[in-house]
Amino acid sequence: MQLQHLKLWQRELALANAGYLQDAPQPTRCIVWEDPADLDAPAKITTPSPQWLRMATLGGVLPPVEAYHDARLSIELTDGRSYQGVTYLEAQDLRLFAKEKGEQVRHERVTDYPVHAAPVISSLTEQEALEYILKKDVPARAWSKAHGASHNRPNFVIAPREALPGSRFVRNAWGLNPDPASPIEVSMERARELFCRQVANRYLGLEAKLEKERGVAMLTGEPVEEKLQQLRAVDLKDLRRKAYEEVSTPEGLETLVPEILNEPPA
Amino acid sequence: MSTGVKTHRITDPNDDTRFVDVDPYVIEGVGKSGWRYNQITDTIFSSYNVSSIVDDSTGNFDVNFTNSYSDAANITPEGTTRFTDFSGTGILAWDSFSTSSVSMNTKNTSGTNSDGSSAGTTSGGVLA
Repeated sequence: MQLQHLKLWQRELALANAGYLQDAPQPTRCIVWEDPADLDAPAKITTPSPQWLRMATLGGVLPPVEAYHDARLSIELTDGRSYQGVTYLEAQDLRLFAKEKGEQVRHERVTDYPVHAAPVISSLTEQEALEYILKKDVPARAWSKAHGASHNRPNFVIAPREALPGSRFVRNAWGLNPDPASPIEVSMERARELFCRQVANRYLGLEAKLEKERGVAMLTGEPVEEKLQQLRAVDLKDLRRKAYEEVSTPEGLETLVPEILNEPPA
Repeated sequence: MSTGVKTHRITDPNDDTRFVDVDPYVIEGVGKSGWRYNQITDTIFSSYNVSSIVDDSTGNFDVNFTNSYSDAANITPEGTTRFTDFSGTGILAWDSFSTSSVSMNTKNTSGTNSDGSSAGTTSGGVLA
């Protein structure tokens, strides 16, 4: 199918209508990265959409990633400063600059978009497609030393998705480990804090829900009182003590969660 | 020579403030991106005009567009959102927009950030 003459979004539409994007397989890899501008934030995971990946592996659809970088934007911040002819990568820094100054982007507009007219590239392997996504969707400060990426250790790794932890229980304690075989390292200090906060939130959420249902339960005979008693038997202080003194892994923390706080949605 | 009605703008006869510009909304159309995403398994089920999704942290994710929008101010969320988690139905909110991505946030009914098992929506606007 010849698609070069169409706009990029029309190419996707044409492929979808012709059935090429149906049942596109899930990607097997992802990009795990950290933002050098906010190293305290949890590691981020960028995963291509199956439909985009299918277009990348088909070939003849996407422009070179440099065509995105050559786009120009005009950006106006809430402090009134206005920037014209900003490149795609400079726009990433401007958004960060605005955030750090407590400002926001008031207006952002694309003024030049060479993506449609650029020659299409040939078929990519999944690894090459991930490298493309890295340069398109991950801020350059994470992958380009010229834009602020660390000189000492990589700020990203392309890894098999199956190497990610199976449980997201302490997701916000995930940090980057630049080893594709084990791309996540968990900060146990942060994981323990999260555990305590999460258990308390679940406790309070469930307590509020059960209190609300109490009146109705008198008429329907549902075992709300029993559940409330089970909930109030949970000793939050003891759970905190165990988290800090008896457990040394994220999996161990998860096993500490009382059954009543693991209840699925009603 | 082409025939038919020629106009730049279609306006509500009872309200001049309600209108749609023929170019680009009618010619180019709207409904320009859509996705359904499970953050618990970090799985994108279906998408249109989405190159990737970033799992930022619990309850926070970004959607990157394959084809940028021409103006971030014109992106409008449409359609429905669905979200379920441990405590039942929750809230899916649009945090911030740029021309190339949108940041999303999901909270449970207690107002705490929580991963959604099925967050889906579409957005309209003019593409670059």
